[in-house]
Amino acid sequence: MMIMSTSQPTETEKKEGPLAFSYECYKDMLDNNIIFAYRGIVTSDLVTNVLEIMEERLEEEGQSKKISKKVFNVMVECLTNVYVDEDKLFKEGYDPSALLLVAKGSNSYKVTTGNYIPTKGVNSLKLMIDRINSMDKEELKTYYQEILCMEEPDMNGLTNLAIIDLARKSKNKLTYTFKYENNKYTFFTLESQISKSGV
Amino acid sequence: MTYSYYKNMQVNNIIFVYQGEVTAELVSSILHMMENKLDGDGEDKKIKKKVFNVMVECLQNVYHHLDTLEVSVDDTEVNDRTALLMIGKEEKDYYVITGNHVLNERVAALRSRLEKVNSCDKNELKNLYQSILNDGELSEKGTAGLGMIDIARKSGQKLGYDFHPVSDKYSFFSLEAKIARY
Amino acid sequence: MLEALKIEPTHKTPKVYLDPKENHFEVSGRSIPEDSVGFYKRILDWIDEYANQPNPETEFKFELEYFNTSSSKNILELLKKLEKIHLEGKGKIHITWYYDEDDEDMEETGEDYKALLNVPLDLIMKVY
Repeated sequence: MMIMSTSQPTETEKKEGPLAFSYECYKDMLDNNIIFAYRGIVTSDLVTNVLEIMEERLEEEGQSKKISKKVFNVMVECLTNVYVDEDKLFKEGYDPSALLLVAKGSNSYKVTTGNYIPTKGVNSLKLMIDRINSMDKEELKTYYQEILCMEEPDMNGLTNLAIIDLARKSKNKLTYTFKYENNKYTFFTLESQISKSGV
Repeated sequence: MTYSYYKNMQVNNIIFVYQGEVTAELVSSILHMMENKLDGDGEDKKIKKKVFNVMVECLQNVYHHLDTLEVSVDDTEVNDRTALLMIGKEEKDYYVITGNHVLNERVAALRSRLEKVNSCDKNELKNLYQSILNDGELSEKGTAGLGMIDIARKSGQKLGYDFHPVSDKYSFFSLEAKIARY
Repeated sequence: MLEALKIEPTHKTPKVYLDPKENHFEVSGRSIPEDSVGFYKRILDWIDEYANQPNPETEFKFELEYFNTSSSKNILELLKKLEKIHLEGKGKIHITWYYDEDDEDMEETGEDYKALLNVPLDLIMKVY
């Protein structure tokens, strides 16, 4: 990266850091069609603000209300289900921030969340998502109703109900990755895709 | 891929990064989000106001730069209308970085203006600001100069910048303003 | 008569307007609170009270813009309490579930509730 010399070289001549990273970041977001990325604690204020930003953006793009609404619904569900035990992660020296990425491909919008989860929960989560991904629309509906009646309404985190809901709303298979950090924590990403055609 | 984003953002202390066209409505939504974020972090009212003001001014500056590109709408070699907005929180500072394409022929003038602004102390900036304001010539150039001085004054620190050559025609101009947290 | 429960809407919680005197029962807006159990407890407790002496006819209106699955479980609880009043013959209950013409997810959610409950529930599309 080219850095220009200035009269205050100590302040501006940096080969590292966010300024040096800015072009790379721009290029990468452009190439991957990423609209925005947020890293931090997810609060319901944030959900509201992110919705506001996306409303503006989708309106500007002339996206149909139906698809916009779907993108919002999926975002709400993704964000309200990022459950991170912030205090615990922080105390143990891990980053309690979650990641939210919103991308626009040629045929779809993608909403991705990423956060640390306890490694011991990985297998059951993986099995659950695989199971949900194997279901068709009707099966998902039946399963959703079944779980809705069963689950206690005080559960935290990415519940089975939330995963089914995401699969139903997005109408696409959910994509996930688990980046193993150690026996304690794994970085988990979940991507929901909403087709622009609405199907 | 998502993981590498997370890591990049972590290393650079990025809170939020946006890539795309910048409209007034969008800017106000992003500002609103940052306002809540700063509130949530229990940030001092004075610092909050400062971060906010610098963000507004930086985005204004992007608008201005993009306006100067209007003549090249037929250009397809780069997505020249989109900009970058990056906001981060470091140990000592908040930072606001904007990035946008500028015509290569403007780079030298921009750089010399930035050098000039960065060479000024607080009082000199104030005088420079007032003299440009007094000249009454709020031409295209004048406004840009004023914007940059204003960012520097509000930030209270030297501006960081980078010109990344993109093509024969364009460079990507990144501007960084920091606001001390204490 | 039971005192009305009125909660102003916020960016994350719905407007709640439960007034037996005016015979006006409404939950509308956004329901995406961090603590949905905490938010809905007041409403569920109120409905428990109301079940002791409900109006002969209760027209209950839901008009939600956004909501998440953690709210959906609480809303089901609420609906079940209304269903109980209806089935025990304490009072007639009629529920209306409004959804935007562009919001097929909210329509589906209404359908889910309809399938799970034994109480009159109408789905009404709002056209602009």
